[in-house]
Amino acid sequence: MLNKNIFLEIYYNPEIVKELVDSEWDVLIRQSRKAQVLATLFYLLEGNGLIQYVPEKPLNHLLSSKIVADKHFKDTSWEINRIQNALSGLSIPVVFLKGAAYIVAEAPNSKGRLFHDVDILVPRHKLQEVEQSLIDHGWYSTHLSKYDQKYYRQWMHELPPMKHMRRNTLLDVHHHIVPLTSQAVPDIDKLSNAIVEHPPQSLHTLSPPDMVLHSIVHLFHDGEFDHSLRDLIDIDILIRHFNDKGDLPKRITKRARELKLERPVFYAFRYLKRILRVKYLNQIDNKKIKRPNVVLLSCMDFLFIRAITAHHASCEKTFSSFSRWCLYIRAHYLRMPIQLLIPHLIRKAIMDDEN
Amino acid sequence: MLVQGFVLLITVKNTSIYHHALEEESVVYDAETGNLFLIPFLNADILALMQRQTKHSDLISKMTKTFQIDRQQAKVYLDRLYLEYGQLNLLN
Amino acid sequence: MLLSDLSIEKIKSGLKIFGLGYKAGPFNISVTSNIPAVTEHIRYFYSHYNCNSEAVFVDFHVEVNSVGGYRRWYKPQVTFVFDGYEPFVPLPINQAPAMFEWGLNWAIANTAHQYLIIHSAIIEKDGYGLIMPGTPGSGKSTLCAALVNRGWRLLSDEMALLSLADGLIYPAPRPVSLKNKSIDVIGQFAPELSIGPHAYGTDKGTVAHVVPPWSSIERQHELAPPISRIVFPKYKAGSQSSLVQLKETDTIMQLIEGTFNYNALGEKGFLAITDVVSNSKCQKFTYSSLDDAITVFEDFTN
Repeated sequence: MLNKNIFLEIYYNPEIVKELVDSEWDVLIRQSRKAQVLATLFYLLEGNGLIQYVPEKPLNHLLSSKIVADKHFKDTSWEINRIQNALSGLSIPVVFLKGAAYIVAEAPNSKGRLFHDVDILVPRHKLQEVEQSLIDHGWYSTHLSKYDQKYYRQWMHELPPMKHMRRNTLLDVHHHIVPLTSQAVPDIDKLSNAIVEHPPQSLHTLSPPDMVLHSIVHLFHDGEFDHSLRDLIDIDILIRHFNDKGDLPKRITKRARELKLERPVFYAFRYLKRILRVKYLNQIDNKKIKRPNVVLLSCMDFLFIRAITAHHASCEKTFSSFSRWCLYIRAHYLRMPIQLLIPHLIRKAIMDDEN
Repeated sequence: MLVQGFVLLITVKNTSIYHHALEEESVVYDAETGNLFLIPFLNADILALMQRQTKHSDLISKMTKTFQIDRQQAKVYLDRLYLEYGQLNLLN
Repeated sequence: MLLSDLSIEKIKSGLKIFGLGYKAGPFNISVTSNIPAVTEHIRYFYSHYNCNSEAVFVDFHVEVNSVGGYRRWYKPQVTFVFDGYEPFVPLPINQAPAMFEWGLNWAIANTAHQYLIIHSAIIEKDGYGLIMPGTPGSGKSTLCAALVNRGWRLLSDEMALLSLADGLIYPAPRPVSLKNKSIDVIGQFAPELSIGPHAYGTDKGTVAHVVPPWSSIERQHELAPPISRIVFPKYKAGSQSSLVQLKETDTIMQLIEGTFNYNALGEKGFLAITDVVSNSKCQKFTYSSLDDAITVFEDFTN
């Protein structure tokens, strides 16, 4: 069972769990845990009525991961409630992003997920008021060094992360979805004009195509590839959840063109098809989307496909951690001009060493 | 209604409050937030009634009887409890 | 088949390559290690545990290996890895066996949420179950080692596994870890007990492990009834033995703090703890003499 990603085999065809032997369950649980998709696996099997086929021992592990994920869901739901409450006096829509958005939009991938922080998007001109309101309700700013503060406030698209003094929870306040130093910065007004309100608590998220786009940008630009498989699965689940009319992929493509985010969408669709083998993109002609040149593309293929596999010894393809490192550098390059990037990386390396 | 050695579950909307009521204190668990409180037994009793949307006048009567105080004192005390429990997110 | 039935070659190749598999309580464990002290530790302390057959599902794959590079020669270190997670910073290599035990505890406490996992020693005699929550300075391990040497069955000296499904206790006896002075105390109290090598300079001082009684190991698959008593031990030199009743609400708060996975379990965890407390006698026990303590505990089962 070496070099085989059993999790992906099940993702393509869940019914095969009926045939797994103990040693395969063993590898599956370990692969899934390391890739942070163990609870996702539980919900996948439950949704397909296949839990009854899971033997007792692996089932204990699946159920335990579900328990933790459910607790995260509950805690984050309360956090969303408190954030909305803290900012209710400002008469601005507070747009929840990423994981919190999945909860607000009741998307299926809100279940089986571990949440580590909450991300919100607010208008840039209201940042100071937002920050003050949060402070009034018990949050405080972290990363207090002058350099870090400058990094965030001047160059990034977010305030330095905030922490709540009693609950110890983390909150990221964004005013854009990509850093301002990035090569391609979408028009924020276009995003704001399309936001959606969800009853009954009037919580806001981006529109479905924008939400998917944001997840795509986050995966392919942000440089965090520790859970790249899980992030790709998020994109898949989101598309399927919002695709009731069957035209979401086309709408995403159109929107990507509007917001100048075609390159990451090209990659996302390419890897959704190649790694997750999705069917709903068969209508999309990837050739119509702005693609990179052949050399760059094969280089990216090499890097991405290897980086996106589950990070477990049993299916770690050769070069995976090197690939991931390359992608980390690339992602930072996309976010910061080169003359800022090198000192930043050096400083980050020194700080990590000190820790 | 609290009985020695019993765990009571009171569910109102999304909030569950559990009493473990023995001696002078109750341990109250708010299932929505995971917060835990040690509240004087009698105050926890009042909290349970508040959660059940008990009428204000009934609460006053109960308090005058339990705490052996007059209606005016009971009103002040009750207002304080509403304030504190509200701040702790124990009321809906 | 017991570990002691395996040849030394089989054990060594197991540890080096495929993983040496054995059953500890309800869990299948598989260990790989390139450190001789770990091999010795497992051969010594786990000789009476059942091996796993080859293709079985393993709950915990753990690796206890020396750190590579220049560290092999200069202040050598050991790391603990579970399913790709490295929960601890590397430790000096003489602490490898202790790190193996601590690491396994960590892995169980973080992933076995079918149980309420209370940080305590848990013992049983004639169907009477008792836990001693592990507050610092309590001397719980010393008391535990003494009690299991006088007729009590060791269910665990670190983690009480209370099933949320059926309310029963699932034994998982492992080597009892002793620290500093208590190593000598137990050495004197029960000279026939096998105490393993000392590890000096750990976070907790000097650490050594005691082999649990064979009967505890042999009966580890025999489930134990729900807990009847919660005793918070407090060693106080020169004191008379005394038992003081504790408030149940205080006990609940203390147990919550001392439950490894309380945070993950949420509501279920709270209910399970209040259940245990309302069905048990809750007491604080101050003592200075192990013999006295044995007598007091003897009375519990009458």
